[in-house]
Amino acid sequence: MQEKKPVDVFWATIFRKRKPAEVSRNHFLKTIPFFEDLSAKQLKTLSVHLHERRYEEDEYLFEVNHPAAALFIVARGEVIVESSSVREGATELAIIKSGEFLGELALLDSSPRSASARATKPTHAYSLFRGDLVRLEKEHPEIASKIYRTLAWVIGERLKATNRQVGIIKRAA
Amino acid sequence: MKDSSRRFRGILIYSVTGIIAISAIVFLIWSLRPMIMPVTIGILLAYLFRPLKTAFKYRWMPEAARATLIFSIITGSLLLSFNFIQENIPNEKENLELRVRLKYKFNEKFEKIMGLDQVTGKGNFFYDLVAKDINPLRIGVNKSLALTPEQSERFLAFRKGVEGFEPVADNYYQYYLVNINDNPQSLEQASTEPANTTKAVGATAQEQSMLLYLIGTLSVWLIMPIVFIFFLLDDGAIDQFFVKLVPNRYFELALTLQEEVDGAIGKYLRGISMECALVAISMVVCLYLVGISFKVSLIIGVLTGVATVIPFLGTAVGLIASIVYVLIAEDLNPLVPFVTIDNAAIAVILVNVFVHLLDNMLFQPIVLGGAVNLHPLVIIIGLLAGSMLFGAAGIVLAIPAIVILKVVSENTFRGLKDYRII
Repeated sequence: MQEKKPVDVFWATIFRKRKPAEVSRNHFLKTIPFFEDLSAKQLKTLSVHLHERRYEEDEYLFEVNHPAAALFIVARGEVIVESSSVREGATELAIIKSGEFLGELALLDSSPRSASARATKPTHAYSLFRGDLVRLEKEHPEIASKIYRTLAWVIGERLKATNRQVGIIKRAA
Repeated sequence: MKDSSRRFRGILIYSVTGIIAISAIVFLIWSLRPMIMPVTIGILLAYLFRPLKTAFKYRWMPEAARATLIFSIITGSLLLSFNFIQENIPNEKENLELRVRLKYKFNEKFEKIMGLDQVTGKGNFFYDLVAKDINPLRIGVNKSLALTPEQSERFLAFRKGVEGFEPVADNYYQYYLVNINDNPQSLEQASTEPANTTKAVGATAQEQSMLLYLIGTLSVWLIMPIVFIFFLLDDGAIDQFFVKLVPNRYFELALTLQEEVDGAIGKYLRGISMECALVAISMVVCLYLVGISFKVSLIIGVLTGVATVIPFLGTAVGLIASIVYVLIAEDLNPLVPFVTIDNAAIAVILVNVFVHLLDNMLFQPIVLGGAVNLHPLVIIIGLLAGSMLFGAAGIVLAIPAIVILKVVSENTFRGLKDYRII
């Protein structure tokens, strides 16, 4: 039987392995389009600013007309984005699954949410607050600039998709 | 049925945990109350120096080295400032000389203005008019400026020249004798005070207990730099801990509120400190130009700067201190023309008016422009209430507490309405 090596507490502390949760969080973040341009070190810095939230089924992440303050990234579970009107009830706009994000416009200003987001399953999400992104701009501008660039790209893609849909509707009319 | 029982269990567990947590927090705060001051001052200093957090951010510099460098710079500059102020404040001998001179000059000016006759004790018309009201004031000032028997002993020792000090100048000794003659009781006490052994033993015991008290206090204050550096270099972990406790429904509201309160406290503290520093520097420079010695200008400037935290008090402190000083001044070395010992009082009044205008028209709009606007009355009442309830700690904590209350109350109701909670 092989004898176990004695543990050197000092060196073990210095070269300690990162906690599994920390590793899995950073690994998960790397798979999110929003953060794919960030290096491992930058992701580690960013992850300090992410708030971890857990939602029960049917619990709202945010509601329509509430001031927007944060972007949400779904790590596990499912979220439905719905517009609600008194006359027609709730209309499903999109379903956000694990690895996808929502509420990204909150990173730009605090204008009211245009739709509500409700968890349809027990959901685990990360949230990036606008104030933290502003702080990152000052403390780690290279990280913030990459996030803003991705945000501009996402908004551009959404605009193209909207234009296509408007074109289709106009042709149909 | 299953749901309602789960809900009941949830409410029960949350309530019990909440009550235990609140009781534990109250117990801890009460037991550890000597630590409240150092911890709070550490946090407030971290707010003050927060702009330094982003300083020295180089790719090649490890985070630990950056933190050490920032901490060393802040500690070094604080120590240097304290050392500079300590070197420039009067020592024991200068302090005693100042009191003797102040008492003598005060009585001299009083007698001159009131036309008092030393022999008959009769004064001019003005004295007859106000004698009833002003005499108690004169007695009060004389009592507060009179040297105690121990101080008289020390003064006489300094007169002979001890502990490497130059002997007390003749004119100050003459003032001392005149002061003593004005107060025969203290002269008697000063000359007959025996230096017996019992007193010495008592003093030693008192010194020992003071030493123990100092060691105890210092060990509690050791927490301050630790709190300061952790709060200064915190990357959001402390905020995250508190935000985690907030229910999902209030999550975005809590984040927004926390950011607004955080920003407002930081801006106010940095703004008010900057304003105080600018007022102090302006006073020192202007008084020095008028001819007051650098040491005295520094004392009056620092006092005025500190008092500027309370609206109007800074101007009042600066005005009274500088006028009192020029009235007792032996000589002035003005760097500006037209200022003489006779018109120095007018010059220092003009200096105070100038610094007050500078503060109102330049410093306040620039350094306090974006910060929370507090009504002077609110600050005065807050400081009084703070000192009455919690003593010195109350004075230090009053203004940050008022800022937090104001920002939280202003934003909470707006936020609760925006988020359709109320």
